[in-house]
Amino acid sequence: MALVKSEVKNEIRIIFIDVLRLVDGAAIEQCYREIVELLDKTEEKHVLLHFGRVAFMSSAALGMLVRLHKKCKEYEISLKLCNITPDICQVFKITGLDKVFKIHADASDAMEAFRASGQSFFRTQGETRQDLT
Amino acid sequence: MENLLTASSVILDSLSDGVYVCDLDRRIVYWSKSAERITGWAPEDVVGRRCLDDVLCHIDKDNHRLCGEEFCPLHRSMVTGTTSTVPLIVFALGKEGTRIPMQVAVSPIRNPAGEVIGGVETFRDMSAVLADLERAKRIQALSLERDLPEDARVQFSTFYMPHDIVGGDFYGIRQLNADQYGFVLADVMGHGVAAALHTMHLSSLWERDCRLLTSPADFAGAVNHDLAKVVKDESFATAICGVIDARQRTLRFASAGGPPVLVVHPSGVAEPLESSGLPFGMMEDASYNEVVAQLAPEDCLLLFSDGAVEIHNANGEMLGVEGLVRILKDFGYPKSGININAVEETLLKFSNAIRLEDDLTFLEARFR
Repeated sequence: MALVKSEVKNEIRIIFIDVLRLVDGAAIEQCYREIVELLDKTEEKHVLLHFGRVAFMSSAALGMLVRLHKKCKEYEISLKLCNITPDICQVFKITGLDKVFKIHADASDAMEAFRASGQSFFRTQGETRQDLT
Repeated sequence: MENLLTASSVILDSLSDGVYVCDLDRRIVYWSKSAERITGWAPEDVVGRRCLDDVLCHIDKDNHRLCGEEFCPLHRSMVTGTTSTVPLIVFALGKEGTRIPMQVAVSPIRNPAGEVIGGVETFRDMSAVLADLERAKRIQALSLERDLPEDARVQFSTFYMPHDIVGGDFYGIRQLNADQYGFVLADVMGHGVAAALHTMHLSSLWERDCRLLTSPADFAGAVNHDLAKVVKDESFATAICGVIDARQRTLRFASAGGPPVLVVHPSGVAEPLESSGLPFGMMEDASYNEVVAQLAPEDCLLLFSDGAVEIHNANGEMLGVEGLVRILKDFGYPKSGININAVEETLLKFSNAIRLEDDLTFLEARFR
């Protein structure tokens, strides 16, 4: 059974982690494999990991996220996270990973941030705003 | 229950694993042929007796008596209504009087209405596998500080309960000079043999770098840098490391993603000291900050691995630091010391698990 689902919206690949408890080592590894398979195939340069279904996450899952972070850097993909519960947010804060990952309250917030950074990127490259439409 | 067993006993008696079934009163109602082969107890010796009536005399790897206690996996299975998902290790008393290490799995038995009416335990002899693990345990024990420093001004204590035969927690306390003691409490991701192997890396780094603990941030940076090279994305360790000054009664520490340090005053009021930092091994070039605290006479510093707080009850609520503080206060801490067995039992009762799911370590410094 797949643990992640994915869709593309406004050129952003949104990956939903469809697991309530991300604590089991085997589930974490499967999750990682499925996400990397998507990253291998995706043409989008913006990826959003959606944690809306995840109620519990063990520290082992943090390791998985760090590996994904490194993989995204390798693929030059901009990665954001969203819809993380307050308890899990606290774990990110204690481990300093809130400074490593870009975490947003919800998907629209994240997508707006992608859009804003995407516009900034093109502007610094000298392209005009109308080229983005 | 009887009708269920009559139909199933042919199949159960064919299994190589031992099987026994209890009712809700923990009375043994079925004992398979393999159960007899493994333990020497015949069905007529045990059926009809309560398993807690000193029949099986199960103990766990930490010499906890299991039969009749909260720690009994079969009891926990019936109380929580859950099936064990990882193998559990218990030691049973065979008919010949020898202890038999066994790997067990437990599950509740439900009637058609879904109500728990008993429990079933399957088990297999682990003697061959356990000899190797026991040796690994002795090797790991050598890497943990056995002789804690003695000082009239501050008393150090440690409590270490690995989840499996070997654990993923590591701790050290070392005298650095006439007044200062360096310490670390680290928790390698996961538990069991793989995590235990990484604790040996930590042990080597501790021996090499503990003198750096006069600056905890420097120690953390050095350990992280070298551990990251070894674990290569596969693992990491959360930790708290620091230095205690017995003369000035101060604490200086750095966090690598570990739980808060508790300062517990004689009144029982506990103040968590929080900091943040990347776990060791995650990113080679991480840097760390230091937190400094002044302590008063008779204050206790308490460090713990996250196995003590990342426990969820049946409603999904996490115990957290506040919950741990409540438990300790109920036990009269800090006036009374930590009764690790009682704390462990209370944590287990809070959880929705057959047994606690992680290693459990406490490190305490009591100022006199």
